[in-house]
Amino acid sequence: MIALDWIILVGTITAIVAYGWWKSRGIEDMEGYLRTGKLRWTTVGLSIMATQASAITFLSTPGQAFEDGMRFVQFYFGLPLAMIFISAIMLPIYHSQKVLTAYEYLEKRFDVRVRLLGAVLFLIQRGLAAGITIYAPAIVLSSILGWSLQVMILVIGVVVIIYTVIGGTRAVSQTQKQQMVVIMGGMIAAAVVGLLSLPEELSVVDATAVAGALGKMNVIDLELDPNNRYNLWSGLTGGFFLALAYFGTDQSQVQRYLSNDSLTASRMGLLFNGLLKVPMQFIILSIGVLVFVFYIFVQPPVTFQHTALQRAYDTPAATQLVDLERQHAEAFTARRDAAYAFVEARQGDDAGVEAARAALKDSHQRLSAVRDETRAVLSKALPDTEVKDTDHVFLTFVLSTLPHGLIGLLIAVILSAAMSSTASELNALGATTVVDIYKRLFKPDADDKHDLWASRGFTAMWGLGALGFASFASLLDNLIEAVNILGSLFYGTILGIFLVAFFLKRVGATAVFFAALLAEAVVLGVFFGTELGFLWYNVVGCAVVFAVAPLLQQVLPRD
Amino acid sequence: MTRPTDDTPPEAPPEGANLDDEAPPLGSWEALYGLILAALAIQIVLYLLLTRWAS
Repeated sequence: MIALDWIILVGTITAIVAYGWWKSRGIEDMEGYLRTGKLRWTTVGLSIMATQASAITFLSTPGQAFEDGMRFVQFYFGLPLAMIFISAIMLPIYHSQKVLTAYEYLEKRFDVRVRLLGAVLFLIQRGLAAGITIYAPAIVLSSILGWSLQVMILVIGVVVIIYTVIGGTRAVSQTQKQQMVVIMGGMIAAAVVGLLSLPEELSVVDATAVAGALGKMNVIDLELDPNNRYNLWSGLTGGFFLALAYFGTDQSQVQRYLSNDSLTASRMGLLFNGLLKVPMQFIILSIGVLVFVFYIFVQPPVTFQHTALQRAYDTPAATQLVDLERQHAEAFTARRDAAYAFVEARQGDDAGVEAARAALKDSHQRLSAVRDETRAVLSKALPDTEVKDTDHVFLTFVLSTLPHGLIGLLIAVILSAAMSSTASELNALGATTVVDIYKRLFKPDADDKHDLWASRGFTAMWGLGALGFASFASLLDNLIEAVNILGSLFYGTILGIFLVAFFLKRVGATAVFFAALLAEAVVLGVFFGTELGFLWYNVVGCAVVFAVAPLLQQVLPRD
Repeated sequence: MTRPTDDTPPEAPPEGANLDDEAPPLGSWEALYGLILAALAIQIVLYLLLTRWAS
């Protein structure tokens, strides 16, 4: 990074935070702190999108496409359906009840036990996820840019804590609008530069064909396999339940549209997300495939984990690594030549295309074998270091290919994404702690000033907790999957409680409370005892609550 | 397309839903829901064609 990158990076982040700060001045009570007043639907929609689009989305998703192809997009197919469901059924109920948190509604429908159960399940999973949302980009950025991990965690965490604690929900929503504009602009710029960086003789159609020949254009998988994480069916059903639980019952999202006074704006914001999310994820995954094709024609490093490779050269594995780098260079040349031969063969007959495709696949397998062996050698040489390099692919591409200025903007994109999702999480954690626990159980009659400072205090407490968790977390296998798996462990149960509340009027509090406890035990049993794909946990948890609660109601007295 | 408003006639709430009299109505929103469903269906078909073409 040069001075121009730094000016753009620091200027972008400072301007966004200052804008949010300025727009949220004059807060005098808890209502003002946790509600936004009237916002435009575009602000609500961008705020919803920015909350979900964490830095992990922009680091991990292109890397996932680089390794695994486009199939991850199917994960989002249930989301538009969930947006319609929430907009048509859940949102009118929340608005009519005039609640500040989703769990407040549970007390109105059931009792305080169920409200606390929903709030506590949310606080556990979102509190842990907030740590990962800070830690994930920090470890990748620190590794690639050579900055200290602790400094990175503090840079991301402290800025967010300051503007979230001071400005509350209004600051979060206003900054997210700007952050989302920067994020979209930056990703489009990265895609354009990526396309321009391909060899001149290679058209977009050729590049897609090469990616397809190597299995990266596997966008839709129609095979119904419960153990396969991403296929059309798990995306439409499991993805629907996950999105329904996340957007409909997770306070970090609910607060984005519930804090707004206008029902129309909240609805439009949700539907805006439903319309744009799938194409947006398709574009981000396409950038990953683009990077994959780029590195077919431009030699990539043997591993994108540069720091680990440098450290391993100081161990006895150095001789092996020199040999592997030589093998990798040879395998790269063979694959590049096979790719050019495949592109040329596409002008000829089918038999020639199939032969060239087979040769290309073969050369790719040889190169993959060298990469796998390098990973194994690194893992043995550095037993305490994560050697999987998926999350490092995109940033390596950015730093080595994009022009200066744009590098600063892309780093700003990743920091903006980290801050926007963390801000929503801290804001919601603070709100839930104050509204559903502190004020409900301990200080129901406190004055406005006390409530405002309690809201700020709990938001700060969760922020410091997330910073602490981020500082001690170790790298998980794949960051975006880790967050989704963690969410799926709890979401099904929470969603089940809400669906019973909406649709099974005769079920009372005690029945739903014990059904929810049973459902959570079943989901944890499935997680620890089976290989079932994690998207299905949402279906399982929800189905158990929805099936068991009415049965229990048959034997329990009415509350 | 007409911009959806909250002034359109109400649709029957789901059975057992805890709606009160102040619950906002539904109406021309259905056109928007249809648009979103159609967009999703078209994307799935296009992605399927892309997958078949590229494999």
